[in-house]
Amino acid sequence: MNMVFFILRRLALAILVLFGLSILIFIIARVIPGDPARMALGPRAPEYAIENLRKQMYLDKPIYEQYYIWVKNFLTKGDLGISLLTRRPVQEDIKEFFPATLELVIVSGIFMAVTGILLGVVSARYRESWVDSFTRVLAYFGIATPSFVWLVLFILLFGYVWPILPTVGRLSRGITPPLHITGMFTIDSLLTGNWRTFWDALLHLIMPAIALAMGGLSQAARITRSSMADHMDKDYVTLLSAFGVPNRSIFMKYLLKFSLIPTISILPLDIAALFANGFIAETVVNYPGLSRYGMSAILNKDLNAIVGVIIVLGAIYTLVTILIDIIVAYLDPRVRLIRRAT
Amino acid sequence: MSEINLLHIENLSVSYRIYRGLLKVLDGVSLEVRPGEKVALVGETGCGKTTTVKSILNILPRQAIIHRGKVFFKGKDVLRASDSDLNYLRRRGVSMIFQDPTASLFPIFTVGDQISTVIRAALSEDANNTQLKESSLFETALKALRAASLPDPERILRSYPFQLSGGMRQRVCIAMALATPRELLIADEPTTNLDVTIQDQVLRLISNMVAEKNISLILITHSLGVAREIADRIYIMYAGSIIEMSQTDDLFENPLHPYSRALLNCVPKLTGEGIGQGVPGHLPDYLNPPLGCRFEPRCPKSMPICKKIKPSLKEVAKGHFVSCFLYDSLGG
Repeated sequence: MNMVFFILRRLALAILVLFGLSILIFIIARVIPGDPARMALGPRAPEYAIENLRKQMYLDKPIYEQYYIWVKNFLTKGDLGISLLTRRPVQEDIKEFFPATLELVIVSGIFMAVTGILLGVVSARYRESWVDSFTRVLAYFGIATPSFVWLVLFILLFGYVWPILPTVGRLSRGITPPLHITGMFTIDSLLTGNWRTFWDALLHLIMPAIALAMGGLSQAARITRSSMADHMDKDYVTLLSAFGVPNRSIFMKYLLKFSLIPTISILPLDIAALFANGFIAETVVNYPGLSRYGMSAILNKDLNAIVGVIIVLGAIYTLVTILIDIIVAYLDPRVRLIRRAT
Repeated sequence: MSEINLLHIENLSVSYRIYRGLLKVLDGVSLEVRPGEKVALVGETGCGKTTTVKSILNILPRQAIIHRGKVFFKGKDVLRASDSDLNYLRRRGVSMIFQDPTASLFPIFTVGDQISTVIRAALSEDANNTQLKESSLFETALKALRAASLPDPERILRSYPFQLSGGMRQRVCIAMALATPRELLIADEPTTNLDVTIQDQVLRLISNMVAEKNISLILITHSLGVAREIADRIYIMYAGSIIEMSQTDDLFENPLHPYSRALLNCVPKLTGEGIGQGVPGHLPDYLNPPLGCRFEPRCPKSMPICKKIKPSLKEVAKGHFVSCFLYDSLGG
């Protein structure tokens, strides 16, 4: 009951946040210098064509009226306007690019969580051993190196020196995309039972997914390690071993759950950030994803596309934050049961 | 080593490795506990009492280095024990109540969860109890909580530690320590972190339960008053060494070591002499402890020899041991 109320309240707040975000990004996109119509049509387009496009986009109206029209279209028809760059409705573009990025983020996120937590746990368990030192150094590199550098490195190694992985796009030449169900090639090919396509799509995901995961997994490894190492010295652990409770049980049942709370409050945000942060990586491997689409929208001042992409990213972020709160409340009774003054 | 000793610590020296070097905390501690005996270990904070008792269960922190010494429980050397001997020691032999009840329970697991984990471990040592039933675990836990005079034990089993007061948490820890049969209980300043009003209740509870089950007790305290109330025999510890040991009455009638005398002066008296003087100075730096007697820098009766040689613990009257050159033919 308490939990349901908590979730409903958070959802209501999330809607308010997204509303505010839409106003903010709507204004920012319009006040930054540059004429979107001119940028879309090119320097040689005649003045009347520019005027026409401006009218078509309501750019001749005051900004609050533009916003009103945008909100009305979005809420009534789910219409986010036309992209100046692709000349298609923004929601269509997002529908096309989002699943590609989603697929990448899922694979990357799984890799990030599993590897990061595993490295953290192992280096806490064998603290000050060579495993710990190795993880520490790896984590420093992982945090300090941008994902596209990893990606270029991987492409050089596994695409050219030892060519075992594809380096471009979502599918190899000659493989037809699976029937559109979710838009995620791996899932769609599985659903239609097309193993060859599945395998090919998965191979295309490996390098960008691992490259994108490096930063987050390093952070997760360090956080898990320090939180666990912290707890290992505490009285509640000493007490259990003083009573002859087997180490394995202390570690697997008590320490692990308690130590993962900080990691769980950060890791999902790291994963969600990949939706936006992958633009260089997506560009490097020519991967048609949302991140790349959003970046080109910003560079070309594609107003509707900018607002559309930001709203989608904002929604993902707020939902992930709520999800984290729910998981942490489930893991930590102090969050659940202590009434905080709000 | 005599046969009747339950616990025998022999010349134990322990250091802690820290960034700046070695903290030479324990310097040759010897201690014995006989079956059914109640012993108090008295000394000021930081003198190595907790380190001493943690060695009994072999739960010293990983920075600890044991240089020398042996800890025998029922004739077996704890510090070099096999896994099965260590399990017997921890599950059936010795249990311990920690100093800070707010830190000794996992915050995110219920009391019932933790107490049944402890009982399960203890019962797994019992050959007759090969098949453990959750219901019998639950019953044992309830009985233990009731024995520790906790009201509404069913609710407490379902509670998380943060939902209980400090006193209740310490009672839970006492229940944990005495839920299954033991031969020795270690209580490490069990009341230091509690409100003054309940310190007495908790002490009484511990002493009653120990008496009822006829098990041995090591009570760590920095209060001689508490030690006098509970212990048969008192060890006085200063800066990592036992400096005096005798029967409780003997110690109060005739304290020998200058530190013991100073400590006794600190006990408030009812005769209206006001509160005591305290002991000027502080514990030595464990990185570079004094070569000779570690109390020498604070000692009002310091002699030249005290700076050079560490006095050993010697029996000066029957059952009364002291380590001080004042009572040594060497020192005159």
